[in-house]
Amino acid sequence: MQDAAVQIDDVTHTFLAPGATQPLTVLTNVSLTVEARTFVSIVGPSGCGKTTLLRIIDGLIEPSGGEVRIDGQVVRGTARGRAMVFQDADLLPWRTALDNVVFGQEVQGVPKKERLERAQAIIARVGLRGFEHHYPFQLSGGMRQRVGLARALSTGPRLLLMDEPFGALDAQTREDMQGELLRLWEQDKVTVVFITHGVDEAILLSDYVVVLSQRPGTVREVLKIDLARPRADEEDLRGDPRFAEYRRQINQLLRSARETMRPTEIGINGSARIDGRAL
Amino acid sequence: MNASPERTLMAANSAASLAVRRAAPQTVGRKLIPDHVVLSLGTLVVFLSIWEIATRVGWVNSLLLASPSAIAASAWSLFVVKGDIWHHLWVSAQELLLGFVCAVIVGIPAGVLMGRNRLIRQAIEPYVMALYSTPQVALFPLLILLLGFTVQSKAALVFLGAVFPIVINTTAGVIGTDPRMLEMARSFTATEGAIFRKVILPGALPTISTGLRLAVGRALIMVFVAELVSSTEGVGYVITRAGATFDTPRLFAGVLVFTIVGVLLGWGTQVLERRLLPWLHIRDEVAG
Repeated sequence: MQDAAVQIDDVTHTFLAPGATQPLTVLTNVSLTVEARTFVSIVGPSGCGKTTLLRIIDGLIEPSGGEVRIDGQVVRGTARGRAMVFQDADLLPWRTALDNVVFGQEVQGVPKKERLERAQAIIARVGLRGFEHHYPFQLSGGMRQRVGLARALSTGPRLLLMDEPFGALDAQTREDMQGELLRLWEQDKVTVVFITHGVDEAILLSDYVVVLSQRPGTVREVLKIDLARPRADEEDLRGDPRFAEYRRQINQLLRSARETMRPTEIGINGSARIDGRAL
Repeated sequence: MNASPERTLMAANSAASLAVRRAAPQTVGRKLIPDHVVLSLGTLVVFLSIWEIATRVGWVNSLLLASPSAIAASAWSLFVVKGDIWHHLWVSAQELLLGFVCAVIVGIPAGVLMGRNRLIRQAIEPYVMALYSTPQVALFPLLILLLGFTVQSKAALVFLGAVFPIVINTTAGVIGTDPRMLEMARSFTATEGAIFRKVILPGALPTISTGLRLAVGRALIMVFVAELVSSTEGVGYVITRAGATFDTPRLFAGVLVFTIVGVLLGWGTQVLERRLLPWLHIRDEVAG
């Protein structure tokens, strides 16, 4: 499996919302480098353009300014090799869990036998055994997200884009899913860009946590999370004094991000790099 | 539109019937004939008895309101002894099928086009709505001028009656596609064709199916009206003719034929929908 490094170069996004008279700038001068095979979370105040940024990386939205490169290739539209896990799972209601899992491969032209084999293997890995023939409305929120994750993973992505996938789950299910995601990620180590509201979740899962400012969003800070992997035992991790320190730092950044920014500040904090190394 | 009578009934007494349904498996088990069938058949028996008595005693003029037994005898003659209904039924079926199949062949693609292309929709929609609101029967004299007193002119009227609910519902189903599903499919690099076949069309099917069921009802009405106005054949003609000759038992028997065909077609489309859209019905059952 090839690596996938993401370079976001001075991305700005402005659009005219339907019915609005003034164009809205949601992202401004976002620059960020994500190393291959790292897990990066993006946190930020509501409406700061996190989801828009993720869609720009996927190629669903073309940015008004700047560009995204994946392994040096400029992103133009969606492409194979990256897959998205959506906030509400976004399963097709008329397809069973299994048929939803194969959807990605199906539209990418994977032969039927092969896609079913791959889907069955992934279904076992994400803990969906026995639910293959259930329709989405027969599944719990957690199970639906597993289907969404399996659908993405079965296309064999090198870059996994996750848009607040556990945001709508209850606390217990959410913790279970985080644990399973960690376990899965330790096996594959694909590049992950993970959008979340949860500070704990971001620290727990990530190698780097990117804090965005309030709208128009721009990179405020990038924190390297220096906690040992594999991070199987969550309880230990939460007890770690460094965990508490990361949480304090990120919360403070988020608080200051929520305070109204003056336009002049945007340029100053406009870019940041993960790691000192230039890629 | 979806609700069958028993489902409506359950919804109306949801609290009570929930309790009953929960208790039922332990106490009763499965009955040979369900209670609601016994009840509805009971209503029919009581109603027919009163009707029969009323005509025999002379409360009503049996020349105007034939007794159930006379209707049954007439139906027996129509179907078995003389068997002349089969020819008329075949003629009516041809008109219905020809018109309805054409309505489907034209209506679904037209609805898809209108749903997918805003320009086409804006160009056509006002006229579709206007024609839908016009009593299509009013156009029948014109159809007779164009096509004569033929099966074709009646099929054309059936077509006009059936095509609009199909077009309108198909358009609504296609427009109603969940934009999140479109985005999901695009993210997985689905082609436009695949998005149409795997996301838009299946998503629109429940709405299209509703349109088809509305269209079946309207098509039946059109068959009757067309035969009423101009025909020498067909079930509608049998009824009209019976009325003109004061043969009320035959008239009622003819109406009964329409009722049976209507019920069968309604039941058939429901069975077809269950087959083709199983997820819709399983979901309804889960929702109670």
